[in-house]
Amino acid sequence: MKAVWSAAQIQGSRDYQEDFFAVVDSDLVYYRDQEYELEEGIALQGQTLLILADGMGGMGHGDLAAAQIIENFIKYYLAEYQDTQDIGDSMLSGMQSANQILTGLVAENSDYEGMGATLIALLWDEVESKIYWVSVGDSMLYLYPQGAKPRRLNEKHTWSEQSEKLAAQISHLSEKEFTEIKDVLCSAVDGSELEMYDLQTEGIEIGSGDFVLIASDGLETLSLDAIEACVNDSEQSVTPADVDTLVERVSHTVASLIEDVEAAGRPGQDNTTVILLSSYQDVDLNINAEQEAAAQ
Amino acid sequence: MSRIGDDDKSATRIIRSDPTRLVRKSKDKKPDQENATVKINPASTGNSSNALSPAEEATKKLDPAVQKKIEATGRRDQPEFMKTGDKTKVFKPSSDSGSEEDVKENETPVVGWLVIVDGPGKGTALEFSFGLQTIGRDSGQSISLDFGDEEISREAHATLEYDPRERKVYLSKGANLVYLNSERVGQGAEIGLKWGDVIELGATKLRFVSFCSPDFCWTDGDG
Repeated sequence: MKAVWSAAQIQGSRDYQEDFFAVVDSDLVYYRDQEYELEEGIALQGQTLLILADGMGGMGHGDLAAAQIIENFIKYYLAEYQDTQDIGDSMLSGMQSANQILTGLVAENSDYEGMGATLIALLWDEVESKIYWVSVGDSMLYLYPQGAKPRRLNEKHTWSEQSEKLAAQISHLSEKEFTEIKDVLCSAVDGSELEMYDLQTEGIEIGSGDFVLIASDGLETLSLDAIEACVNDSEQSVTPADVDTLVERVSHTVASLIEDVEAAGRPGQDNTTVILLSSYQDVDLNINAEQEAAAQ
Repeated sequence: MSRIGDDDKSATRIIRSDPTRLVRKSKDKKPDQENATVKINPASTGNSSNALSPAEEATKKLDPAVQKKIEATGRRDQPEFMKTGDKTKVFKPSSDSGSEEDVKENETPVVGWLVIVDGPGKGTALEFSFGLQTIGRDSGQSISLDFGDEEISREAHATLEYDPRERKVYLSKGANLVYLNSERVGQGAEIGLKWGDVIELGATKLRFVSFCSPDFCWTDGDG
């Protein structure tokens, strides 16, 4: 199984862009509008790593934190994978090392205290047709299986969502205090000890025509139904004659989601980043292409 | 994704990058590098979520975070993953935890805190350590109260000193008026502080919170 992906982002009405993303696609890294070529030994084979970090604007220096997390995650993920060929270990190494880098930055400069970001790193493996991920914070990771209900794949690390695990801390809060923080993050990559993260090491199999969505919470301007409708719209039309058509459709869906966020015109619209991955049975596409060629 | 408007309030620009690429397809198919739309919007300061570690104190959690200016990220130098040969320590899930950790000691271990309970900077905790601690507006002061209270002297409005033998923090008046629990601190006087005492400098009220105490001090043999 092969996959295509597309990514786009807007700043919304924030003063800064604090969402950062990167894609490591075999031997190429796409990051901040540039491509970087990886050396052969370190490049991924038949795998794609999609990473998103949403810097916490309220804590200051969110963009620095997000950029550091993306860059160091990639660096240490690749180094660990080269050593161990273990996706789970590499995910952990990427996350923990990025976190340690932040610890160091904060220790050097107290202005940076509290800076951090959410993190989603998703690995697509084309041989097993599986996805693996690590996630910290409240960014969105959804699976849209063809013809089935979408489902959220990652845990959402906010106080209300994790209230069971945080029962001890919450018991000290008044109802009003809890209401005030219920949507606030309870875990982020911010240089402090990472106690709460969501790591998928077994992998989930993805079928042909399924979509995987990664997005920063700026996309929550749209309802889940609206997002589903947008993704399904392109899903129904996935009988592409060739790969380029599929690429176009995935790209179009990403663009539509971003446009819908802009069209909603929400005051104070947050930075929004959308990354969409879709898998396809490459054999089918080749047959289609051959048939098409034969027909001509 | 580019940073713009670092320097002033400036306009918000919407930048869109839209690289689409086929996974594992030959490199000849390059993505659209950039599809930048430019828009001029009135600048607005958003207030996004404050991340809180569950271990932090409840009061700290609920403070509204200060939106800060960023200067360090307009950079376009080589991203970390392209750098090689540096000696940054790597987290290895396989290695025994802690075995390769740098063991560093903080040279200025915390002795106590002053928490601003009233006035500019309200909600902020200021840590202090051993030695004579000068309190003033200047950034070079041991305890810098640069939150906008102009009534505070630049240097040595007051001083604190921890005495490890007595295990007590003492407050002295400096260049300006100082009140402790609403009572005047006289020139030359030195007053031992108790947990929860409120120190008043200008329009700012600070609550004293001790860490070192009769049952704990950094000078205790720690083995």
